[in-house]
Amino acid sequence: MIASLANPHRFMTVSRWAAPALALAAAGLIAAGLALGFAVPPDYQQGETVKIMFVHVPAAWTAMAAYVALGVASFFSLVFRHAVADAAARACAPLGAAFTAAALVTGSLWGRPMWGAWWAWGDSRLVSVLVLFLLFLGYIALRASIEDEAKAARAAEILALVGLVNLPVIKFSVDWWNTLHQGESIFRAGGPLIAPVYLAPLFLMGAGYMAAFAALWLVRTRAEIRRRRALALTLTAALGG
Amino acid sequence: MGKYADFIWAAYGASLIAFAWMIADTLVRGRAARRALERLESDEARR
Repeated sequence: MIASLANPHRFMTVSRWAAPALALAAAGLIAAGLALGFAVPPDYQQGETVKIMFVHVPAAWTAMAAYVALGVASFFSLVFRHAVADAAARACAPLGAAFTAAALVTGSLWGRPMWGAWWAWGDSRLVSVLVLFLLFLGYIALRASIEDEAKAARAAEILALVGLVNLPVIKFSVDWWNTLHQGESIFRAGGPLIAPVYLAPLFLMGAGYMAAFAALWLVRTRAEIRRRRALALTLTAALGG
Repeated sequence: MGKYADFIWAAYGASLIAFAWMIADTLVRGRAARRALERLESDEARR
């Protein structure tokens, strides 16, 4: 399927209906997640602040998924010179940065009442997610700072691929080091530690955030493909072709 | 919402701002790219 979308025309045809469909799905999932989330009872330890989980955790999941998307797109662009992949990588980074920023801000707002601290430099989960945010910003800055688009793309793709090592660090940081951040409580061998009443809104919001990212990513990739086509036409006209 | 209501609403507000920016920026870029390409393609067709 990925190979079939390498053709820009085919990608534009598929994404024309896929983007609105994903956007509708995202709206429905998030609306359902919010409705259920606001109706959950307070947690016995966290009280009403447990409701922050329904925006913080989905943002964090989507931020990591966005980086996987960036890494995969960068790989296909670097190795196979896949033009649509390069457009997709460039389109993905700002969205990943936004979701990561949302995860950091909502996490800080959750941490203050729970831990008594807005931030903890000694916490490996917090710092590794901050590194993720900086990787997204670094990718964007690298692409913008080199005038030759092809060279900029290659440099940024290498950065994106090297940064993939941060993902297992984020995931396993709560196991490898002592952290303020709670340990894995959802996707674990013995099953979730979170009460079922909180899982439904959490998974609905997670799915909604992912669908929203996918919809926005498709639209941004379409815009990037059009930008490149416009640039090619401008160059052709300038050369008198 | 309890005594930490401000933190809860701030978290949802920050999420809303992030989504609003993503949606607005995406739609603006999409529209600008489509219009620029349509203009260039019509110029090329006229040539």
